[in-house]
Amino acid sequence: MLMVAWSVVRLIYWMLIVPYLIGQVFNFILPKERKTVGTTFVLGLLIYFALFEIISIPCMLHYKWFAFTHCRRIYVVVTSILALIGAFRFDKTLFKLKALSELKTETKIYYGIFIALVLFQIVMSYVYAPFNGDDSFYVANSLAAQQRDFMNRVDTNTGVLIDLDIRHALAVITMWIAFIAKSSSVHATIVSHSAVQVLFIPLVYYVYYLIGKVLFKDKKENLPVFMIFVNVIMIFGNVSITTPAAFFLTRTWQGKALLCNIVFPMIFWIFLLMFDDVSKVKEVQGGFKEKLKLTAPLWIMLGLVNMFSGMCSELGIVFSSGLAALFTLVLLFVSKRWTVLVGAFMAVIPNLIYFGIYIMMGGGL
Amino acid sequence: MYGIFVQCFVELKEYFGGHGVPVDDFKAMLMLVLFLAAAVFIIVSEHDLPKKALFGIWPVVMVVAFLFPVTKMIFVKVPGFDEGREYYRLLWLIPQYIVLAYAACLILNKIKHDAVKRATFVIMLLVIVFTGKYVYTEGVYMKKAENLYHIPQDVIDICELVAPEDEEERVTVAFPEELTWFVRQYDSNILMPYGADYIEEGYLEPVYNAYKNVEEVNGVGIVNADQLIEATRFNVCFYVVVPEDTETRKMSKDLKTLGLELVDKVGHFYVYKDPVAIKKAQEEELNG
Repeated sequence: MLMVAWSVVRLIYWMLIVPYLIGQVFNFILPKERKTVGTTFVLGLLIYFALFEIISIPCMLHYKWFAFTHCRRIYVVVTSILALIGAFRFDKTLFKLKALSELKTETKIYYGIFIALVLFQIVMSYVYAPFNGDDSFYVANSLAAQQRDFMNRVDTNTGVLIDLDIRHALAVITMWIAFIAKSSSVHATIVSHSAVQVLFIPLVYYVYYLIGKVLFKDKKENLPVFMIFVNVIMIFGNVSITTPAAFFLTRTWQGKALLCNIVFPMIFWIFLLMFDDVSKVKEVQGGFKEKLKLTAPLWIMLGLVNMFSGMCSELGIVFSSGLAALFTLVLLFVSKRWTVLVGAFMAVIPNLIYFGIYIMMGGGL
Repeated sequence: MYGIFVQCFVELKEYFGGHGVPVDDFKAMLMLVLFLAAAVFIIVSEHDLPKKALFGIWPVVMVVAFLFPVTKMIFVKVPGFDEGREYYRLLWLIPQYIVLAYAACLILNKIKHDAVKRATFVIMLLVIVFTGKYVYTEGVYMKKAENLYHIPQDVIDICELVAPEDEEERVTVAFPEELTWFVRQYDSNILMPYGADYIEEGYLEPVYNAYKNVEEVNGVGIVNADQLIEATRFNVCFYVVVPEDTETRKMSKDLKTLGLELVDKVGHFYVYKDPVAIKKAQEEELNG
């Protein structure tokens, strides 16, 4: 029992606390009005994922034997240092709750329903075990890393060693799950099917919440209503096996599910903020540097989201780059600032590097 | 061109849940129409250009682009996109849920009377429920979890029975199709002669063939035990797992008659150890 409790503590530490502490290190880039516990966590998590990608892909490509141990050791050192720095920069003022009494009773009830619906989905993710054939690839790969120390070099069908399957190997979310599993001494299949939901289900709704916050900044009472709609659409969105809702609630742990439910909505959120900032940027006094302070955080965030898209799926980098490019053109039209092109280019550099590795490793084009 | 358009339309309809059953098709079309109506409503009623572009114009453009045959023709040519099998993923770029929820909120905002507003809210939710499908509906793909691994308990029990100890060599075990999906999600040290891809892609593999290609006799599928064991011995499977006989599937003979030893019965499955295969492995090891 004590061992189980210790594993749960480590799960919470590696899945929730470390990303938050990393966020504390870097949240100075966020403008004051956007610096919250939630955005700090999101920023930290994106950096946490990005670091994993930067460390795991070279380890996977360079080492065959004990690749996962090499990757894990480096990642633990780097993230622990950052988490330690973050702990020293802990900002308790972020945790001050805004007065709920300002809200109307009806709005409070709607918030209550929204939270209850999210909790319901988390509970149901334990109660039900959806069957999905792809798990015999993704989850088996996570487990092979945890139990056999190989990174994407074990044939998930037979268990024999194979060459790196570059078509899937660069989407290292499976290896990140293996890292969480190994670091908390919990079986990778349990982490996939019964642990990561605690992180990903609230995270998906938090991203929608952030979108709603921008959409309804002048009509805040609409926000919980918007969130109830999104929740109900998700819960009743299993109309086919290919919808984002079906992916979200029946294979939450898979990269594809995270791609369509976190990455793409996040790109919409970031661009909504950029559009929102257009007039602010125009009004900024003090030249380029001051403008950069306002605009750079969102481009950095977009770059991190792009990196996360590659971690989820190879296809992700194409789609996320495409979305970013298209919305940048709209932003260019709206803002009349050519510098947005520079920002967009910087934000897709990780995708270009990723794509280069993919081609060099024989991914083909 | 028209043929490709129809193909794209069918994919779009299937994405929204229309799989050929009239009720489902109706619901799918209703959802599609509601979604497009929501996007158009945003285009008409939203005054903020970026919001109009992202949640009104963009979704409509994407649906049109999805149906446009040239898009599909290009998509199919791009390597890595599985020859168009993943074409539906283009639809992921549409913020469908934001569009629906946002349009619904905009409509609610236009209603002045509180009671009417609340009633409309409930009706809108009911429409979503009616056109949708509850994700936690029990069926082939959604079952109550038996454990935290979310894999069948029988698989775990069998794996515990056959798994090598820490210092031992890995073992190869032949499992019937229904268990194959889960084995390597529980123990990476258990090897198998075939796995999920073989089933999905229909690869030819002797052990899988022997399990699968049964001879029909009076409506009962007879698994050829000789053929199965010949294949498992060729693959040096130390253990062979077979499902218990049912009214629709039976083994042609008791595997003990072929020299296997029954280790245990786990749930609906018999677990046999094959001394002949073990001996073969030992001899192969001795001979280098």
